Amino acid sequence: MKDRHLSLNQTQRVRLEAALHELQSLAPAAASAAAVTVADTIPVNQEDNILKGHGTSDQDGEVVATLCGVVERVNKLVYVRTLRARYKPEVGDIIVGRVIEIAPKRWRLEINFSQDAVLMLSSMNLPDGIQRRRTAVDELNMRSIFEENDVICAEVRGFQHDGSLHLQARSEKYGKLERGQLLMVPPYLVKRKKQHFHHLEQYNVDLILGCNGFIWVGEHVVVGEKTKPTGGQQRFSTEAENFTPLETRKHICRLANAVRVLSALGFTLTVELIIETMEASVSSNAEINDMLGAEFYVQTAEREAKRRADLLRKKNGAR
Amino acid sequence: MAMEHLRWRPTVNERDFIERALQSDLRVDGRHSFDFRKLKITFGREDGSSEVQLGETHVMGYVTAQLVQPYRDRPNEGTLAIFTEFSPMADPAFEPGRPGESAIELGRVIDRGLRESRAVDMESLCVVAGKHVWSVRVDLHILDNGGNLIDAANIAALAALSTFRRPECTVGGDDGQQVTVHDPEVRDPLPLTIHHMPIAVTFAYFGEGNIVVDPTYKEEAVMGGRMTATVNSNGDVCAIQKAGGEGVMSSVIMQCLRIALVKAADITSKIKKAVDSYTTEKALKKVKRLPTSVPQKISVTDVIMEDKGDGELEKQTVDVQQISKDPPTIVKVSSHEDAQPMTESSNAEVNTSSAVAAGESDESQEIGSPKSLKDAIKPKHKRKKKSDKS
Amino acid sequence: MEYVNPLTGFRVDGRRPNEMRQLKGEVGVVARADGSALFEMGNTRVIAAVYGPREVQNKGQQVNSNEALVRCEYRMAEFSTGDRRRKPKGDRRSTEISLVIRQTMEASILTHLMPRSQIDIYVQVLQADGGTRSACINAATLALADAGIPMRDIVTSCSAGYLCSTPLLDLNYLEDSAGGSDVTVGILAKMDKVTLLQMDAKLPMDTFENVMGLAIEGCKAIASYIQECMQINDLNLSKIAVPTMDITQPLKSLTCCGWMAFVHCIAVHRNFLGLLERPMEYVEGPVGLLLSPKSRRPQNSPSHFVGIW
Repeated sequence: MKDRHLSLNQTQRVRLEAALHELQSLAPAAASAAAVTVADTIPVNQEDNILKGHGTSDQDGEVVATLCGVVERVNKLVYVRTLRARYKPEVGDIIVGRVIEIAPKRWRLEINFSQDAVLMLSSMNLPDGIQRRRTAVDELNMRSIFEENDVICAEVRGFQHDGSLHLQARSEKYGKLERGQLLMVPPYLVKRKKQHFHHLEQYNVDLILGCNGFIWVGEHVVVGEKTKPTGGQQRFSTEAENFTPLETRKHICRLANAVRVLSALGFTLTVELIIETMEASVSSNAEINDMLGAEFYVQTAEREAKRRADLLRKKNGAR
Repeated sequence: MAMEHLRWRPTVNERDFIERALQSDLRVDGRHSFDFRKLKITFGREDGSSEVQLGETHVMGYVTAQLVQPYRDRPNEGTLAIFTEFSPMADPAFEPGRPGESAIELGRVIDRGLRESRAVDMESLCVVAGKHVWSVRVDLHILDNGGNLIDAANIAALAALSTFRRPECTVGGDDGQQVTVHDPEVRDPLPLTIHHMPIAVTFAYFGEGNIVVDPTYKEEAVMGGRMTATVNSNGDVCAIQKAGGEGVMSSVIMQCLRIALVKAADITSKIKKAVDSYTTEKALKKVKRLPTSVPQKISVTDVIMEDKGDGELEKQTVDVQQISKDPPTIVKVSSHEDAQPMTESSNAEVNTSSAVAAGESDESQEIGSPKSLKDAIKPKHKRKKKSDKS
Repeated sequence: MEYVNPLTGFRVDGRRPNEMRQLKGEVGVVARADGSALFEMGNTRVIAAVYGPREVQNKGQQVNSNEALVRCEYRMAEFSTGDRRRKPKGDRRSTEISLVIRQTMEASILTHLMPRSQIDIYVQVLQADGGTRSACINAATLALADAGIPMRDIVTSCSAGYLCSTPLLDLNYLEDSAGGSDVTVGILAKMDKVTLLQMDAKLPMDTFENVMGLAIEGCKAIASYIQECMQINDLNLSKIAVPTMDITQPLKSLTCCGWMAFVHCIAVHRNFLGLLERPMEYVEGPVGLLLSPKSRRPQNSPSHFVGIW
């Protein structure tokens, strides 16, 4: 449990355990039946010509798990779905990354994968927006587009021959992210959905759920009007103009704390859940930093348990 | 560690060939799976220095000792320490300076095999309990890495320890705490008490259950795992080191140990033979000494000297030596010169190379028999006359 | 000193000769690491943290680009032993044990699945009471499983010794420093293969066989305990994370949907939960047709090679 940093008093501990217990009992029984640990034999019908997927290996004709997780079967494929692992990329994923290095004609990004991802200069829109060949001058001016330790949003284009990722950031909605917070959560908490960019109007905040577990919460930037900084001085002046108001900053902090609490509890992150958590904090008049405290932690767990129980009851009632 | 990329890596072909050849019990150099390479043990001039060649692997061992204070928890035992030096000339992957991981592993494996199995008697190294004990230090230098360094270094250490002689010392003084270390030429240095010889035998594991003994450099680069079993000829297992690598069944391990016992007996006999031949050779050099009392001999030489009427200088030096030195060294007088003309100059510096002196004084003593003395003197006399003439 | 009481057969700490000390394993103790574990064997406490697979920091160390580079560092905290240790890290014993642990774990990690990356295992001894090496290997196994790094088998380790003519299992510090033999064994539990074997001090061959057999039994007992730890931890996580209600709903509501609609529902929701994130190409039948991926995956991408390993 990741709640080691919290100091729960006795009642809080009891409540938390009760909530977690309820959550676990709400999960379908099938999950526990299929759980395997390393070197467990996966029961398989031998005649079926089973395809052995990720997390399995063939030892002496038996299918043995190499990871701890849940066994999933899809037709002839058997694989082990593990939770706590590094990000497993797919083509077309939206990811948020951080620039580590500038190499000839490319940027190297850290994305919580086994290798750094590569964003080629040709996969990036030029500041002036013209589509043209990248010249040597462009290569020298790479730093004016992205520097080391910038946060960037991009999409997975494909895989390179050595297994590292190839990214592209051609669309307007991708690019450098400014004025916000970057959060790192375990990748399994972010499910792949239709939309990863969420604009929360009521707070004027952008929420980007990167599939690699990097979450961006920042001030809303109107797509298309993104000012590309052309020079250092201009950058300062534009910053002075676009000063983020205090209210927006508070909303950003609340949302970020909501994400932190949910990831510490191990709940899958969805926009609805995050907003709900944040509203609960506002309604209970909790201070922003109290959201990371023990009381809010326990309350969130209880709330989620109640929500799932309600859902289950509704489902059972509907049947 | 930075030089790891300089370590030789096998090509796909070589790896394939080595593994496939092993399927038919054939090794690249033509040996059988459980054969050792040719072993050659030589000794240096000094006591306690040895050189071992196992195939292409070349290791030198050197033993020294000094008096130190013992460890607090073992006040009446001496200490034995193994130091390894992986010289960069042995392998491009070796770096000068700090020992790398493999150097430390080798040192510790040999250390465990020798010290923890009580091969060398530590209690006999104690001089004054709690105050003075002998600390024996074994330095192993790897000169050429042809594979299987552990076995070769172990043999070098054993050979060196077997021929090492530590100076004798007596405890005296008014409080019984005064320790006098005697020169080797005063009293014969003593050998170490070695109870048994722990021999290291290294096995290399390849896929498909192939096992070989004494892997070469190339086989080591291709192998999946290795195990070093240190056993002695009495059937005891002294130390085992299998640091990860490919997994093997425990029955296979026991089988390997039995093979190791056989090999150990073989190597022990080889080491003993080499050590014995060296010691007899050394003893022979000493045996030429006359068992009769020494002063007689000296007077004989004096007489001869006066007869010949030459060598006034030598006579004086003889006198000087008589006074200052103990009998054995004095005898190495003029007669000594004949046999070893070069040592004339070293008369004065006889105390520096005690071993040399001991050896040479022995030789001179051998010549000191009247018959041979005259024979020895004559040519010199002739030579002198010639020089007088010229 | 009698390490085994001749009358009762108890050892200095009240155990029987073939009894192991109390085991305790906990996963997820270092929040920042990809995987971490705390392992206790009696009074010996060890913490292990695993980082990886991640980008190789020092390209010079990467020897084989088809495999992951495994690095390991063993250190003893200065306060772990009775007297404060002068040199916790750089001394020869720590270097040798780092080498041993690294090679032991390398035998089990499927390194060829993560080429060009690096896996770091950091092990620290918090309290040392004999058997630190074994505790470190057990903790490293738990941490690697926690990090989701694929392994061939569970690696466990245990030590055994021979004192007063009795083979003793799981020596503590007192028994270890008695001068008798100390045999440390590490096995791949399911395959029943010995991967680590270290022994010092003299033993006759048959006695050695007995002692090694006893240590292997100890390893197997630890393996079953470690599997329990992994199961409990993993199960808890998976139950809390997935909001499992939604998947079953559309399947049950078949009332007025036609066949295509039914399939479409499944497709949408399965996609929604990412169950088929990986093996899309291999799904056959009508569902597969709907779910064919938008872009062809390149054939030579190693991380997507769904095959036999």
